[in-house]
Amino acid sequence: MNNTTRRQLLRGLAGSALMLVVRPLRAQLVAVPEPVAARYGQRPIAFERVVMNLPPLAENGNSVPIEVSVDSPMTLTEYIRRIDVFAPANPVPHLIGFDLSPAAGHARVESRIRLADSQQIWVVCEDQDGQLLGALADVVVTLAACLDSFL
Amino acid sequence: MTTTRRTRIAAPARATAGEIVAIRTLISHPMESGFRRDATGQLIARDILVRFECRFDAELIFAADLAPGTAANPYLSFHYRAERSGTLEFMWRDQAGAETREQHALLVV
Repeated sequence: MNNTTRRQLLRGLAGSALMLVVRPLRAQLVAVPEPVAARYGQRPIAFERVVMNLPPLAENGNSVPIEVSVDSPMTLTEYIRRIDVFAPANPVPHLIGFDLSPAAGHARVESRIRLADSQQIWVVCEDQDGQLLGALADVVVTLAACLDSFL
Repeated sequence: MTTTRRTRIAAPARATAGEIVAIRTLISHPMESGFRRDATGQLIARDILVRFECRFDAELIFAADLAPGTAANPYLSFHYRAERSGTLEFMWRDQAGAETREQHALLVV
């Protein structure tokens, strides 16, 4: 009558529980904004191993410090070769891009960016095989990077 | 074409073999975005740096593509695994192709 043994059922349940845990980490949860798609297309982005340090509140959008670090051994066979920062609400959304090599030792860069509005910042990193890693951060900008020099 | 702009390089002069050193660079440049208007309502022409490159004895070790969204006086921080003594060469290029160059000697002991 019932062909499923208790053991099989438990195995199945354990399997699906594992899927539930693993999939949200790897899956793309959010729609890729146009500026990111313009550079990377619809290639899957894994939102893991990348840490973006950005103040959640920026009083002045003209100079916002940003730090990106990626968990990578930076060896000849396993390294991060590119890091791009996007602000989709800026008039030019691609803010800065970094070319890295295994000689870097650490995949960690810092700079300062301009933000025209409160928005979600995207960081996309590409490894030696072209696999994409990413991180997102929301930032509230009190005073936008000014569009008028006399302000 | 070569220009001189004020630059600052923060990097150690000495390192041990295999040590990962932090390199920080700064250059004075307005990074005029091309979106701002002056008091008379005229658009101010874009004037930005577009590329930074760092080489160690001619080998490219780090580079950055800069854009209007990069803040004025671009600051960059990155790392380098020092294996032998040599010279770090820094180059910034603006949208017209003018380059600013800087050097820093690294002694590996």
